[in-house]
Amino acid sequence: MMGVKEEGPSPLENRVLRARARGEMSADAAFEALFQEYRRIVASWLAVRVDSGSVDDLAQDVWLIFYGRFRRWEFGTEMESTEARPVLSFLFSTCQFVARGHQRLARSRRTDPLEEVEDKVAASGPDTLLRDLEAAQALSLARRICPEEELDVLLAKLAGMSAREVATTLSVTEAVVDHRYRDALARLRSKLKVGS
Amino acid sequence: MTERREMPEEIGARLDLEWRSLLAAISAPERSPLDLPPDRRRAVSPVALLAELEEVREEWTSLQGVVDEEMGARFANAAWTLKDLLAHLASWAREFGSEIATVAKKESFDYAIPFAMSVLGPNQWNEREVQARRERTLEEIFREFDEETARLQDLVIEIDEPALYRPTPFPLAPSGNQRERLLVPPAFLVSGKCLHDRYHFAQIRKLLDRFRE
Repeated sequence: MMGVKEEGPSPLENRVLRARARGEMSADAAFEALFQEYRRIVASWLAVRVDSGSVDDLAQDVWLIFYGRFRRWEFGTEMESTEARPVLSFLFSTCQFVARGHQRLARSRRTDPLEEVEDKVAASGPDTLLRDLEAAQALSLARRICPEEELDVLLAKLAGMSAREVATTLSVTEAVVDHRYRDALARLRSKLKVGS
Repeated sequence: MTERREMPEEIGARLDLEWRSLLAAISAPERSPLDLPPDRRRAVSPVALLAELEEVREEWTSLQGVVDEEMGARFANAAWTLKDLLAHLASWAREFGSEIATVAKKESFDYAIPFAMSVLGPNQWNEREVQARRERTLEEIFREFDEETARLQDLVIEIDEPALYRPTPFPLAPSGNQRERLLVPPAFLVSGKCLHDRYHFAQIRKLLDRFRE
């Protein structure tokens, strides 16, 4: 299982949370199952947002935050819905907070003149990984031209979160989520040529 | 020849394909926190602290959107109203901010906050701080918490990294003896502040659900 969209009626997360809530799984076993299920998604979300050299460290921050939270996880009624994936939603918002924290810290620790820093970023590339991936032109473009709120929606939907989950996580309405998604596609459409 | 633009659904499909390629190619960390020794499984890096403080601020903002004066006047427990509970969080945001600022300035503390009449917390200090905020508006209380939590984010960035992880005696005295201070790294104190906030946020969410019934 590589973290791609699961089509079945009950995602692995849902089954793990139910088993944990019933005491059929230890906290560590449940955590490990969720880590294996979502580690690639977390790393990919971060790879789209930050420089590739920072992805591993930031992914560890995300998982440590989740580890601390999972010890006191409250198994709510959302588990009854086959659509809801509270852990994926939590990881998604934590990736956002961690990426913002990383960017803020990086800005504050810059001692070089701004142009030098920008040159370094351009050379190593904040999206080196995406550039290396031949097929990732649309994703790479989205990272560069979409405002953060549109990129948030794109990344969440790509990972298989429903519009309702995205809306709840971002504290906006489903209509706003749809609107941002369509705007992001329109923005990409204006820049991408067929066959490029 | 006219250049054709892709249709939105084609772009959606293309993004989906690229996303799947990225998932397949990414070298995601294989070591989980469970592979670390138990005492290292704490999210206390500067980035993690900034992220946790940011999450707390977002949750606070969302509470600000739903708590009004009428709700604030309702009782949260036998002694405090919901507004008092919010004031309690604001008072600790200010106290933690001051404490970390003191450490950042390499100064020490000339006061203690002893736990008293309870093993759960410094009840006398808590009560005094809540009382001091009784005349304030909800808006002032919400602003105080947010400004102080934002100040903590600034301090996490400003403080020397070795100082952030050096065990430091803070004013809290859990035994009740003023000379037996809490000895923890400032990073743990910031992490503890977020834990304390989230504990009360969960209480407040349940209260709000009850108020709506």
